[in-house]
Amino acid sequence: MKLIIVIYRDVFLWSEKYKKDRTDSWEDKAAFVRLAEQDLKALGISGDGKIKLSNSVGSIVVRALADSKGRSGYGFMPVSPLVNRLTSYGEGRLPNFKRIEVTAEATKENC
Amino acid sequence: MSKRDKLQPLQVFQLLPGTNCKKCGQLTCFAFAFALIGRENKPEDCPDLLTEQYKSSLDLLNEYFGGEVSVEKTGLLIDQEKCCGCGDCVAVCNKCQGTVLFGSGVIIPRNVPPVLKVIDGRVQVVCWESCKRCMNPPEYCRVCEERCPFGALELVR
Amino acid sequence: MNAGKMVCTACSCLCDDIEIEMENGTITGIGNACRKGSAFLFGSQNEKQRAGYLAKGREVEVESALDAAARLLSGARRPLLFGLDNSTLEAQTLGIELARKLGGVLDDSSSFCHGRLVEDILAGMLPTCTHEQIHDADLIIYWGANPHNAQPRHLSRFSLYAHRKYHEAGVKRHVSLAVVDVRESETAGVAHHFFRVLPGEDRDFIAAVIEGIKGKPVGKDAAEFLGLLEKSRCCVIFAGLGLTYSLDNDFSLFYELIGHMGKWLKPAVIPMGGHYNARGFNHSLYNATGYVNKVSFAGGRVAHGDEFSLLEQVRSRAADCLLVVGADLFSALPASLAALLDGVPVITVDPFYTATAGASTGVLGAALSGLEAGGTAVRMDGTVVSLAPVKTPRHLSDEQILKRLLEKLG
Ligand code: SF4
Ligand code: SF4
Ligand code: SF4
Ligand code: SF4
Repeated sequence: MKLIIVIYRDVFLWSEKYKKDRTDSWEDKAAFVRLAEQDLKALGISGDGKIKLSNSVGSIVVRALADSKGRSGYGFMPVSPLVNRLTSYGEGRLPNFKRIEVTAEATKENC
Repeated sequence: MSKRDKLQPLQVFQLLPGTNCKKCGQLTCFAFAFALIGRENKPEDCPDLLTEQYKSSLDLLNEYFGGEVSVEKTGLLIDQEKCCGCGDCVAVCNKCQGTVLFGSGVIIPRNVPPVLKVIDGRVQVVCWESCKRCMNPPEYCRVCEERCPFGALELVR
Repeated sequence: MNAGKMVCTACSCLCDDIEIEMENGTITGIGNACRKGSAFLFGSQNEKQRAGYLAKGREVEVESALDAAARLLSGARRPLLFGLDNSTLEAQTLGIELARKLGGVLDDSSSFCHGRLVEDILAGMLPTCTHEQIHDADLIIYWGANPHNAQPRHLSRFSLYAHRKYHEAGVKRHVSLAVVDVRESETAGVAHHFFRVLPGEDRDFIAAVIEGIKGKPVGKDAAEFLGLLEKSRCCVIFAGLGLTYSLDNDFSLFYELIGHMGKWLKPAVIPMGGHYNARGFNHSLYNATGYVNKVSFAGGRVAHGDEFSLLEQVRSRAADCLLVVGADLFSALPASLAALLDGVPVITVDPFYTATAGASTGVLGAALSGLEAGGTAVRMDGTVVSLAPVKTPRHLSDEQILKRLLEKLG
């Protein structure tokens, strides 16, 4: 399924970065994408299923969460180094942080 | 992190056995529903809920009313995990501290110390006596709960 | 012990009412700061998180770390200085001097954030105002901005809830909050009006509103938005990254809208910068060179152009040495782009041991502005705020580090 991913900011994850007992697990905590419920259904994902997002620059596996306010065809991911494995930059434009085209599929792989 | 969809008393009641057996210490299941919302009882206080038949009800109730939360006398439940410390509740509470003279739109300030304060990045009650719910007669204000963008506040009484 | 008030530098709100409680030089309590600010201040006491002094990946004394950094910089033919958004105005001035002395390229994150808007504000092409002037506004719009996650206290300190005419007690509403965004964010949830646009389609929305102004029939959302504008006499737009990215840094249509609005109301635009002194960097460089970012000092002349943006410099592998001050470049860049920096020596000046510090040849740990080091900074609305430290630093401030580097370069 083709999706457009948009990066957004999350204050809770941001704060997590500075936690005392931080290992690098905050990156795992940021490993999720919020999708519209009908898209999750179309992908055959329920509960805390994993989803593989890939495009020409890279691919990642993240948790798929339902977003009751989401819109079909769009996914939202919090800022983290992880999502930057999918972003790219072409001359004369801004990086595609707010509009990343990916192909999504359900997966059993680990994050 | 969307707003908490709150369970209404009737919805809570529908999850209960409905036998009014009083084993929970309340007179009726409906009273127990209110006690759950007010955090005076825990779901496991109803013995029938612990049976296999009510497992899904119990899971759902635990999701809402399980876990350690202190409501104290304030009736204001703060979910520290959801609070981002934006201080919106502090600001609106200070703004609503006043009595509007009906018709004229004139507001008489109450000049009381703030109810809420953000400490270490989460909101806390610092002077509950200032809440309009403590006035005589009380005013059933819900402004802080309504304006919290993260659904971190809940007035349970 | 109460150490008094300080300014939080975790975001561009620069809240100046932060109460700090200290015991034996350690922060034990923080009043008023949001979750982000508190995490940042408490995190500064987490030794594992702080950056020390490293040269070639090994821990060294301050002096040798500075020497090694100076050697790398003076040996570079095309050095690139990036960052300074999390540094004081004083440090920024020194940073500009350093870039000039090295004949290097200087850029900050504003070249892919709010640079264009700030430049046009400084050039007087775009109407703006300060947070103090918000009381005149009857309409506040967050466009492509998500303050509750990026600048958590913005609403309560500077906009809607700080507005003199905002009141909860059932009186007529004097000030409205509208949000234009791709996501129904937390801010959108508390707004009086929410306009949802699809990613990348803000341009269509603006075009539709302009059509409406010209009297043509338009869709429901655009008509409702126009209705708000028509009722307003003074409107403040907080422009977030969402707007910049959706318009791909071409604001002409947005400016056209502002121009039309100016015929019947007083519009003002405030770019919602992220880093605490990002706007200050634009001001400093503008005063020194006439440009807000993307500047080259090669050959002793000032040149400006897109080829001097960080992204272009990295993409074309132009730089042979990178000095990063207070920015986590490696986390912020697309991984495919960051990979091009392989083999380029990087020196990082930062209070925290970031991913960028981890990938650096040299690391110079800095004191935390506001908490451990003083100076001045420019808030997102252009107001100058002075920072007075409340804690004795164990690190040099970035101002001192840049000064020492300048001295060593002779
Ligand atoms: S114990 Fe359970 S079933 Fe019995 S009255 Fe209480 S809530 Fe109802
Ligand atoms: S309870 Fe809600 S409104 Fe109050 S500070 Fe926390 S997040 Fe903000
Ligand atoms: S209920 Fe009203 S008066 Fe009481 S704390 Fe909340 S906003 Fe303040
Ligand atoms: S809003 Fe920004 S400046 Fe204010 S306390 Fe939070 S992080 Fe610090």
